[in-house]
Order: sequence, then C-alpha cells, then structure tokens
Amino acid sequence: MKQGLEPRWDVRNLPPHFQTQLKVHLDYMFRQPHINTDMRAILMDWLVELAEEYKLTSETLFLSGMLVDRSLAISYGVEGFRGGEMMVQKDQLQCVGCACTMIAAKLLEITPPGADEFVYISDNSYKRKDILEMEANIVNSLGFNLNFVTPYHHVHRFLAASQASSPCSLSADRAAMRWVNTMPSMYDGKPCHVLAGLVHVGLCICE
Amino acid sequence: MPKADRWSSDEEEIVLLSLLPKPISHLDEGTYGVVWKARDNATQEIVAIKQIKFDSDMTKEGFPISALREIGVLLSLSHESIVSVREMVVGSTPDKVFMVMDCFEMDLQAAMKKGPGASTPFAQSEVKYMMRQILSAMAHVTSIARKYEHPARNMTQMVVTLWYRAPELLFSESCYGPEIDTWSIGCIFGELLIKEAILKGTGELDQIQKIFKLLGTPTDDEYWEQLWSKQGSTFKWKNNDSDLARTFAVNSFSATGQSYLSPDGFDLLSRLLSLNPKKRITAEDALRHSYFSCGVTEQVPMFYV
Repeated sequence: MKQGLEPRWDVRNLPPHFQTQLKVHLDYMFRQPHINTDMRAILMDWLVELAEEYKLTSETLFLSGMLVDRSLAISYGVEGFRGGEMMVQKDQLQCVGCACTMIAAKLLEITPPGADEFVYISDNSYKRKDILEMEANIVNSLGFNLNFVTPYHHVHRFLAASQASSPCSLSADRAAMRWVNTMPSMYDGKPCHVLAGLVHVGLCICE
Repeated sequence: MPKADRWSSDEEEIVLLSLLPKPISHLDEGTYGVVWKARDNATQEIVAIKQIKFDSDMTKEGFPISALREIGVLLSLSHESIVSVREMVVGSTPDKVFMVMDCFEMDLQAAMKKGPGASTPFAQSEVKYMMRQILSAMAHVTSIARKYEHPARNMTQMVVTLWYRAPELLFSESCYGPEIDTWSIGCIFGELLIKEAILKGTGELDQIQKIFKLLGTPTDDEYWEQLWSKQGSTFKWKNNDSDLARTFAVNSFSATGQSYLSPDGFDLLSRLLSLNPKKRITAEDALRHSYFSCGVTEQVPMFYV
C-alpha cells in the first residue's frame, strides 16, 4: 500500500453487504420497455457534464449514476402512492437523472444546486414540480436506502495507489465514470478488476 | 415499501390504529417532526413513529436535506445502543413520510428528572453502564461515518446544542472531526454524575467563559495559540485554573447529591473534556480506559428495568 491512501477509502474494510452492492445488473432494462442501454449511456454521459457544470465532486457523480440504475431497476409505482405499474418513458429519463443528481448532491455536497438549477440545465424540459415529484418517487421506491458504496471507492483507491497528480486523477476518474456507465459490458467481471483497468487506461491517456 | 395503512385504517391521515390516549401517544416534538407512539397491527409491537416535517421546503427544494441525511445515516447504522429505523413509510401524498423506530419510554434527560429514583444520584455502576453504551455507540458511528464523510465537508459552525458544543467550535474552528462528539460525551458524563448540565451557557460568549472557568484557560497550549493567532484574536481571556477537580471531587460520597466518582472515572472525565481536541481521548480508546476494566462492575440503571 502506497502513501496517501486513507484507510477510510479501503473497500476491503467495508462490511461484506456493502461490497456486493457494487454490482449492477443491467437486465432490468427488459422491464423498462420504453428505454434501452444506449439511452442510459447518453444520460450517464450527460450527468458527467452536469457535474462539471456545477463543480460537483466525483463522489456525488458516481452516487447519482448509482441511484439512476437503482431506481430504474425498481419499477417504481408498483406499491407506491401513485398506484399501478409505472414505466419510465423516454422523455422522463433525463428527469430521473436530474432527480438522482439532486439527491446525491443533497447527501454529499456542501452547497447542493437548487431545484431551479436542474430546470435550467435540462433546458426547461421539465418543470420544478416534475423534478421534485420524481425525487419523492425515487426516494420512496428505494425505501430511503440512499447510501451506497459506489465504484468511486475503488477508483479513488487505485488513483491514490498510483500517486498520480491531482488534475490527472480528476480527469482519470471522470473518464472512468464515462466508461463504466457507457459500456454495459464493463459490468461483467469483478468490478474492482474492471475499474483497475479503467483507471490504468485513464492515467495512460492523461500522461 | 409498506403502505401506511398497516398502521392506520385511514389512509388520509396517520391517525394510528390502536392509538393510546392522545396525551400519551403524542410523545414529543423533535426538531424534524412530531413523534407518535403506535402499535404495529401486524406484530403487535409498540413502535415510535416520527413524521418528517416538511415546511415550505417540499414545494421549493423537495425533500429536506437534514431529514434525508438523518434517515440515510440511521438506516446504515446497526448497533444495540442506537435506535434503529425499522422502516420508512409513506402516506397518501409524498409529503407524508414517516420513520418507524423502536419505541422508548423516555430519553436520558427524562430518566434523570422523572424516572424512578430520580431524586437520588445514579449509582457508580449505573453511570458506568450508561457511559459504556454511549461510548460504544459513538465508536460505531465514527467507524461508519469515516467511510462516508469527507473532511472538507465540515463547513458549518452551527452544530451541536450550545451546552454540549466543544470549545474549538465556539472559536469557529472549521476543520473538525469526531473530537467534537467526545467533548459532548464528556459533558454528558458530568451531567450523569451531578444530574444537571455542567456547562449551561446563556450564549456563545458565556459558554466559552463557563468552559474556561471549569477547565481553566488554555495557556501554553500549542493548539489554542495557533488557533487564536490564525484568527488574529484580540480577546484576552481571564486566566483561570481548572475547577474540574473541585466540581467533580473524587471519592466524595453523595452529601452534595453527586454520584461517587473513582479516580479512574475522574481521569476519563478530564480526558474527554480536554480543551485541546488533538489530545482529547477517542471513543475507542475511552472504552479501553481503566475506568471500565477496574472498580465496580456495571449495572443496568434502575429506570431501565
């Protein structure tokens, strides 16, 4: 273990049930007839831009990506207050992204962007009310379990071990986020192996 | 996600089934919402249900940040001495959100003031029992929080109730960690001994004066010199010597209505109430302190059984 690595980031110290949370199974897409993995990839890519725009930390970014997958995996509305099965429509997907980033930012940022910022950044595609409703929906359907260990814990560990400079680390972890989320096949194999590879590639490009 | 009607026949309001008479059922009104006592119709267990307060936030900024974080933290904790959130329940509209928690008849303050044996000081064994519970809970929280927290995130100063607020926070220290919580535990330790809050400041300035009066003004202390010079402080604090040994006299029997305190206990108290946060004992180390391994054995407090 090299210097500069804080033990709190060591994934191996986490309780086992946190470690298994890392893996996302994308077969949930079969239950979402109106969207597909390509649309999800575009959304994830947009989330990276959103994070850059509002200077959100990488932690927030990875958590919001995680929340998107978790909430899409649960066909919410099944038991919720809206009643009846509710699928995510194509034009609602970006709204899911906004709401997930809003939740992640509220949990992790010192000054999270307000609801109106999300209305603005989505080019007024949604009203504030839409985003807030989506937020309530997501929070409820996830049963308020919002603290996940994200791939970022791995990424951070590998970056610290590589002793890369900080601007280099930042671009490498943003790159890792894009790859992780835009290529579904990245989720095959052990998450930590895949991520170690991604961080390595990211660093090679940056240097 | 269970629906509220498991606890209620009426979906519209969380008027809970098998509610006890109202004055008893309405337990308390906390910072975030009203707490109710209710019976779970499925298991017949008595639970506490807390409705999250939504102010105008819900229409403007959505789910309140403080509630979101509190729920997130409580759901990820699991410790015998920490109240557990059994589940989250939603009502008919998104602004009706309830936390279902274990129900306790009283909090520590009520136990001190109203519980059976309230007129007599706690026995040494009882104080030890409670201190171990508090410290092991805190050690658990610290170990979990380390996995989520980011040091740079600690920016606000308006944390912790004034009487339990660590001195460095009163001097606007912006980078703090679990030490502020061990200070609070020290305050509670003292409070358990004399059954009264030990530092009842009326404002921030008065709080600082009370702290320095009890523990002495930090002179020749590296940490405080650095903090004050960093802030360019022009205040001159009256030089006091520590009053701690007189306030919490070791081995004194309860002529003054105070619990018996062993020398080990006094040592632990003074380590918890260390003015220098760098030297303050951690919850983990406090549990290994000889106070717990020597002397009288712990005993479940009277109000608890």
